[in-house]
Amino acid sequence: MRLNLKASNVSTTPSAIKELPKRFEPALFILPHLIIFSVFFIFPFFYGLVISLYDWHHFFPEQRTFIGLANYRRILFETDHIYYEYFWRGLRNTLTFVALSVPLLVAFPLFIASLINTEPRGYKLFRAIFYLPSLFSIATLVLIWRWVLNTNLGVLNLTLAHLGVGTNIAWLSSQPFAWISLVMMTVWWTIGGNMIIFTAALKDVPDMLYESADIDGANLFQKFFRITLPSIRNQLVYIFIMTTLASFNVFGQPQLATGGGPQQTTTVLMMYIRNIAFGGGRPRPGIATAMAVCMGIIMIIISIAQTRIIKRMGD
Amino acid sequence: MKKLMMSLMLVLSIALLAACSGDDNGNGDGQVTAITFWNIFTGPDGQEMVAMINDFNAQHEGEIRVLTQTIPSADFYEVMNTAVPQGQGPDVAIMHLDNIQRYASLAMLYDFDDLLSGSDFDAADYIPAVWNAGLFEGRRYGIPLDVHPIGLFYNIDVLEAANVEVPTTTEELIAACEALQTHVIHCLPLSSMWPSQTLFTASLFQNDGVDLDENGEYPAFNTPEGYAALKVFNDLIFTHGVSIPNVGVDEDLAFFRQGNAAFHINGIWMLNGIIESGVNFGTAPIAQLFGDTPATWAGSHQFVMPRGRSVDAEKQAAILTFVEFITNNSLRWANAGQIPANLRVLESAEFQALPYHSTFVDVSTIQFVNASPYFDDAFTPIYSRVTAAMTTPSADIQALLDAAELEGIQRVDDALGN
Repeated sequence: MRLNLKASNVSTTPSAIKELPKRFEPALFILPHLIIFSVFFIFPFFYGLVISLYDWHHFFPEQRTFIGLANYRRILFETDHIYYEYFWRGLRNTLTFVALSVPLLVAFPLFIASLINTEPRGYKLFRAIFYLPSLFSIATLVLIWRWVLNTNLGVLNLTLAHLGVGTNIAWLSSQPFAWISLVMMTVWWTIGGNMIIFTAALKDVPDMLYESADIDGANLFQKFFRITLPSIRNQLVYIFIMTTLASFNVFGQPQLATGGGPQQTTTVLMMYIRNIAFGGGRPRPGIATAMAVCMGIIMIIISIAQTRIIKRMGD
Repeated sequence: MKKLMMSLMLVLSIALLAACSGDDNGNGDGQVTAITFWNIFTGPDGQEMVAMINDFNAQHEGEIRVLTQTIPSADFYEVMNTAVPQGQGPDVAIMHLDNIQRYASLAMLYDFDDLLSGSDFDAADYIPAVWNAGLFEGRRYGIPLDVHPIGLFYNIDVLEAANVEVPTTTEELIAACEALQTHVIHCLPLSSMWPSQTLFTASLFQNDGVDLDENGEYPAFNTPEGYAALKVFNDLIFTHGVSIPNVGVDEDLAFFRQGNAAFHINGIWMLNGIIESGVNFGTAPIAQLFGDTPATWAGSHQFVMPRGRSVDAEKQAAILTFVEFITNNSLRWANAGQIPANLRVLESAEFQALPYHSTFVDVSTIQFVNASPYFDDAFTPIYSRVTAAMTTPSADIQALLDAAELEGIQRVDDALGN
């Protein structure tokens, strides 16, 4: 917006022609991003919308037939159809993951950030340690946790057995442990990013607010809920929405750690989509993109709802 | 998302590689025909394949050059699905027997018919079921390389110490495990995931069950025979304690390699991995371990020609020369831990003299799955239910079969356009 205003101001001056290169200067700066954004986002986005309206065939373009909204009808309403089953089961599993993971993925980094914000001795070291797992790739993360969670040889079960609590829990192949494991590794993996944002936000909360609260005799909880949370509201909204969207896109953890099991209870929607689009069986890009579009719409609705709710809570 | 990016990157890099190699070895002046070959051999067998290809390239120096690329089998079909439609697939590739007809039906493969007329390939040289699996609508799409059955590995020292014979039936297995209790930590650890589906399929055939209906379309495993086939694993684990529950992929192998298990069931492709462990072991068939009718599950690797590349006569001749070279040398391939599909090699004195292969399986008991184009749609839904039967003490076997059958029916319905 500011860019446009400035540009229109410039054009009204007599020396507009002289200033012309200057007008394109900002465009030049955003061009690299714009190109990448167009090639990897805008184009695939619209291409995907088109594919979802077809019985798409990877190989023979002449066999692609336009079928309107039939793919959507199939996954949303045709109860006896396999893709209806896959879509709703996948969505249910994804929503389960979102519901289980998002609160922890926000609360836990906030808790850690609050502790670090008090700057105890060695807090810089702990900040680095908590950030470290974020640097691992998904494959590394899952490999580490698969060894930790291994039923018969894993360190977690051995420790539990040593403590006399439970024996041989099948962390990755029985419920509810499979969900607990997936959430646990995700929290461990992603503490870092959100923690950094929270630490920065907490630093900006003016000390005088806490000082006056102390004078008024407020306790720790009152200070946290009445001062800290309202003060970092904007960052909280941002983190809530970004974390929710990231959790919706969960794929690597269940794909590599549980393989979607036991009995497809952790097969998230993204796994079905990828499998249907490219999988070994019988690729159905039309169905897969229709599922992806539906998932996108759900994500948009949820992020709008979240923004509204959090804003209202603040008012 | 990351996996997808990885696959795309892989495809891109392969495309780039292929493009470069095309420039280097084009048919222009050097008269060298370059063929790209994708394989799925990531284990010790892969090294042997590369050695064989190097020998082939050395023999045909200046004429044919085979450029190979190894892709883990978990990603292989995905990469094929994305690369082949873009015209970036290989000239020749390895595919499992139960996928060939589906890919042929999706028009992703060229047939070998014109190429084979006048060549030395003869159906009589091959195990009939293996040879026939490569046929779709009367045309040949696959040329068999090997057969890879599952079998029983046993720890000789443990069995001798307890004076226990190698079991051949379920009853003998249960009795053996009881007798071995004080001699070894684990009797027969059974992974509830891979390769449990191959064990179930073997059990299905041993219990007189079938995988698909006679048209090769819909699932036909939801029968009393199928019930018995699945129940046996639940019983072995939770009633008879033959295996501890919740054994993960390759944990069963690890127990055996450490000498902590009396028995291990795996494919013949694991042979070299077990030899390396230094355990004093022998091999035996599993043909009647889960039921009365002798049957052994086996897969088969076959050569296929993915569609998309322009293929001229010269290139086709080169492909055939290469495939002939590898299949005729499949004794070397046997040493890498596979069983040749070629009967001439299979019946040769050299093969018969191999220490572990001939006791591992009786070739006549091998029973392949129905290699129909709908096998994947109809049958694979049972796999996750096999896992459930092996991890849940009170598993409702009938409900598992019902759920797998329903999913199979719905998938075939979709595939057939019903």
